[in-house]
Amino acid sequence: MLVSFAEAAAILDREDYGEVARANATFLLSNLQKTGCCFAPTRPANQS
Amino acid sequence: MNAYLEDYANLIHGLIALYESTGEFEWFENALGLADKMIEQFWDDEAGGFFFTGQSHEQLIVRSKEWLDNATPSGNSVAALALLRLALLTANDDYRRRATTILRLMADQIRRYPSAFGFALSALDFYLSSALEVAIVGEGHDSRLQDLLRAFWHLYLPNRVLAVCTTSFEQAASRIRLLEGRNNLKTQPTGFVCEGYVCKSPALSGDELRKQLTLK
Repeated sequence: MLVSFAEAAAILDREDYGEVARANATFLLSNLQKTGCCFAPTRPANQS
Repeated sequence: MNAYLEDYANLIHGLIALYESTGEFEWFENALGLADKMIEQFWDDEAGGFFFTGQSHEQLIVRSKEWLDNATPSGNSVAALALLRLALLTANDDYRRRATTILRLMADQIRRYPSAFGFALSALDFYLSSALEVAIVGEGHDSRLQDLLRAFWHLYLPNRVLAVCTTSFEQAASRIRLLEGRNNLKTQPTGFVCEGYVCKSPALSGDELRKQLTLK
């Protein structure tokens, strides 16, 4: 979805699609990392 | 719960696209950081290719690898294409070597069951083609920059990478090899069409860039 919205924004000159893509990426990079969930595991999974 | 290979690979793939479409360097930096993390967490140092689970995942009897592109592409296929694109943008051969290893590991199965490897075939096509390297540099508010970007995006070019810089040139060029020596921020917005980091004459208008992109 991220690729589709990012590329569609550029191809169709749709800034609103660009905003969707930015919001999507920001959510994935900030919220999920902050909760220790997905993209930056800092400790072994068996430790709570 | 930790992320799986396909989560990393798809996010990296998406962040590269977001950087290309916006020219905002932060997305590219995040893609690079995640690619290094993906390699650290998932790469199989003995046999090559990426495991489905990372080193920080709970211990399993077997760490499997996913190869088949089903309704969604496999993590290894997406990772291969993302690494090939990052390799071209950064001139980091390590990314290219790892992508090549993935494609070699898949080669036999691709020959036998090509319909099960749609996305892997796209990565292979990118690898075997002389992908276009395009750099577009100019001040963000300049209408001539928009003309160049429009010329690029209105063409169907599956095997290409795009480096865009509208601000903070030194920072971007320090990570993106394709931008090196092409600081036209203070002069006229310019497009560069290159292969193997050898570029044609700078394109100063959308028409010129379009001609260079289609005269391959």
